[in-house]
Amino acid sequence: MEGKVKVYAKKVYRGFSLEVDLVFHGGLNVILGPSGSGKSTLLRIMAGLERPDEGFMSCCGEIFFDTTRNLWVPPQKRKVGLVFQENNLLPNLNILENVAFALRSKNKALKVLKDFGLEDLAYKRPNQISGGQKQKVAFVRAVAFNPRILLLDEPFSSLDYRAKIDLINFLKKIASNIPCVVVTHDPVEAFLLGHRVVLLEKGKVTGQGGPELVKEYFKEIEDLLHGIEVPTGGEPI
Amino acid sequence: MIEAFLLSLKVSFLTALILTVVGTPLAYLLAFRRGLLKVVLEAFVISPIVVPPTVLGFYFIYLFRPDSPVGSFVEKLFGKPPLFSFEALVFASVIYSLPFGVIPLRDAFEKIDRRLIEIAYVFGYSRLQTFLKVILPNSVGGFLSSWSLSFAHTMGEFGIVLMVGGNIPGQTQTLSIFIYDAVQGLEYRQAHLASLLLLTSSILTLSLTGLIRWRVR
Repeated sequence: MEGKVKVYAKKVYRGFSLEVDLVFHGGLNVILGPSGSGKSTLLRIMAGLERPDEGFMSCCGEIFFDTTRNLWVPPQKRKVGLVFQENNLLPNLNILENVAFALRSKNKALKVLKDFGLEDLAYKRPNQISGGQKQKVAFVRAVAFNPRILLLDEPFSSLDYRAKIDLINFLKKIASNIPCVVVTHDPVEAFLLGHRVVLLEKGKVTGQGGPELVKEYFKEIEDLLHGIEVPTGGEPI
Repeated sequence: MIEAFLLSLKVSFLTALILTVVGTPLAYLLAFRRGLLKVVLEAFVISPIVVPPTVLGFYFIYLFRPDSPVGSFVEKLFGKPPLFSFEALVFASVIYSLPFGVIPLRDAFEKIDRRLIEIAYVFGYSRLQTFLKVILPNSVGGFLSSWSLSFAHTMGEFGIVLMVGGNIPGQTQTLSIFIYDAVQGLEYRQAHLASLLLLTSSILTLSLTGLIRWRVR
């Protein structure tokens, strides 16, 4: 049971229907799907921020919700780590205080920042550091919270490729022992994150497997790139 | 005139203070709740902007008249009739300045990224703790606007304070009523000085708040 997450969720809203039945294991799990496929909704249900119409979820032996028994554990009691695409850090607090916000201790927060080589950022405000650094701090804070599961909602979307790859490697290092679910619309990210990939489309699971599952998408991207007309013969500036 | 000015200051200060306390949960409901309750509550909060002060004043008098159940209850409770008193001035001012106290707070709460609130929940913070640790410190500007607008608006109130407070010098005669009296009595020098005092204090309050907002940003 250790490190195993089972989730069955059904939710209908505004004409959209989400129905998934999934099992996640320890390490990285990726949910890949286009915008509006229901992947963020699924993540929010898993975090306890939204309720499903029907469903069941257990995480490392703990039941988070079971609609047949009218059981619902609020987000405060689930002990999950959550990272959004951006705006994860409180703008009125410095980095040390932001980490301490999760850990309830500045001493522990400083130790964590030192352990991850981020102590130079400790007394800076979120608006004084780069997007990549902000996400790194958000990852570290979520992991240091010692969560049962780590949920990441498009965590690399607002970053350039250099920062993205740096952060993907960082995540692989820090999240190897925790069940971790990353939601993304980017097949390249899904391929790089690897391990287990779930394809989600229009609220339904359309495939599950290893990173090779993503390769189909590369063909699609290649075709799209071929369709772009590249201007030639421009004057140098 | 000084007596009327001090009374205006006292009423305005108390009104702004009460509105911060009462307006915060109201603004929270307006910012974070959806549905019919929010729509009705919002209409109630904003109504003093569009409803003439005479209408509100009339209903206050009607509600708190000595022979009404509410009026006689309040009289028994405090040992004096509620109308034409300092307390009536403050109560009427709180209702009349409600939109100026609540709307800036609602806007400030709405501006806070929902993701910050949700992250606090996930880290184990209750709704109240999230309010105190996330919403409150990131809404300082909204609180300052709420306080200064309530204060400045109450300083300039006329119609409603005249109706529910009467015009008793030293007790319920605010500076705006003093100006009205002075004009009626053709005492233009007094009216001019009092108007200048009211204008200056209002602009000073708003400028000072703007300065603090700029400093805390």
